[in-house]
Amino acid sequence: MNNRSKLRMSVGLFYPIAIISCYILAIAEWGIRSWLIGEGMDIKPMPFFTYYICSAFFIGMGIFQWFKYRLWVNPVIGIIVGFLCIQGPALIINDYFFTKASYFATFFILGLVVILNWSTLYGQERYEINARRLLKLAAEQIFETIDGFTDRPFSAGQINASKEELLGFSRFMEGKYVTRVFHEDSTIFLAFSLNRSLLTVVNPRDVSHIAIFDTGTMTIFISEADYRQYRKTYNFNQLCHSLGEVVKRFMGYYQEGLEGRIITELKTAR
Amino acid sequence: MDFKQAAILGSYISKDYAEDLFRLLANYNSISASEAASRLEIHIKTAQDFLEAMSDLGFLGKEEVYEKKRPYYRYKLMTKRISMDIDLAPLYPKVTSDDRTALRIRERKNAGARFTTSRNNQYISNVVIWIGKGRERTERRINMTIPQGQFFFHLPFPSADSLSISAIMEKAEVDPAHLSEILDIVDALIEFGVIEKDE
Repeated sequence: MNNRSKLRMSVGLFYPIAIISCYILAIAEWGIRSWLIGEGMDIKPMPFFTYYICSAFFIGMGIFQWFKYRLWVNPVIGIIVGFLCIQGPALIINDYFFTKASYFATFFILGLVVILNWSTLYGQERYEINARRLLKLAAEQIFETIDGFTDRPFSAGQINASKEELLGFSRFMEGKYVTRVFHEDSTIFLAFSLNRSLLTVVNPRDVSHIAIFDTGTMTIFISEADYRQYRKTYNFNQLCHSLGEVVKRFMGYYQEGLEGRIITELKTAR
Repeated sequence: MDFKQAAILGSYISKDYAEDLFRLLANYNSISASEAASRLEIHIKTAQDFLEAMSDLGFLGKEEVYEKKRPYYRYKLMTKRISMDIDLAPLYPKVTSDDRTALRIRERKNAGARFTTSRNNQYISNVVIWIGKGRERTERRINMTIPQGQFFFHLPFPSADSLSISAIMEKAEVDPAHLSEILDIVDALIEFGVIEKDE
């Protein structure tokens, strides 16, 4: 069995890959500079080039994430970290008070921004991880690849639960950062997204969602942006149906008082 | 009277000179187009077209006369009442029975249509289709009735197996009384390439 995830790589994984690459590049640059110094060239051994690449990466990623998630904190942190990368070599090679002070001031501002926006950063991370798990779980038994995307909601049948159970279930799903809950008239929307941040969403129809009406009727909507996160174009009809079955199963666990199984199942999704 | 005749009558009867022309026809034993035009100060072609149209519809009698010049027509009113009775029966769908409802359909892959769901998310409220290419491209929005919207909400996805119209109606719980409007929108969307039918 192929253990490779059916979803594309998360944007968050770019960071460790880029940081490790930068370390390797820094060592290479330091080596080249040392050799050139040995050849008599008047340069410093500090790998300036790598620092600037690192800076461009953090700023670029911040802007990219802003376009993807629409969270202002992403470009702000990206720009501050990028600025720190530019200040880094100056801090090491210069002995001026102002250089050192400005570096630590930037560091302090970064810490402050992270602390003040911790709930946003944490919430976004949890929502995205669980949305990935939910979509992986939905696609677990699907192998047929026919595109067939449509922006119409999928009618996923009936869910057997009382209004109180639905409310409790939706609170549980939100409490565990699996989906964000929206209430509209007699409908409960369980929104999830791999792209636009759920923390900035006002209308749940803008992102993927599961809509449950007070009559128990359930519809599934997977946005095109989320569907394109799959490596292959899995049968869209089967995918929506499978997601509906996952939600019905989770509801069953909740009704039986086995909420722990929901989390276990999500965590084991491949 | 069929729809075409009614349309001709409607278009002429709505002219502001129509009543005056009929008054002339009622007062004169017979009248030519040039006499009527000069009396009402309208162009002779306008009067000619009106009188010809009414004659074709059978409200006026037409007689060709010769008075030492080229022949012309004199018109005479043949009726004291005009009633517009339009038969809409031919406009009703001819077949609303089993053979059409057995048609198996589904949404076409990459149809390029955009569906908007109703506020309660239980039916499609409209579909937007792009027609043409390049600068000629125009947006066509079709608003749906609630039964049509419920039907489209349950239309099989492009990657799903096709279903017959009757099966979709049953699934969507659409009253069979709405069959003709369902067939109408299905035909329209097949034409626009949003729906594909099994051959």
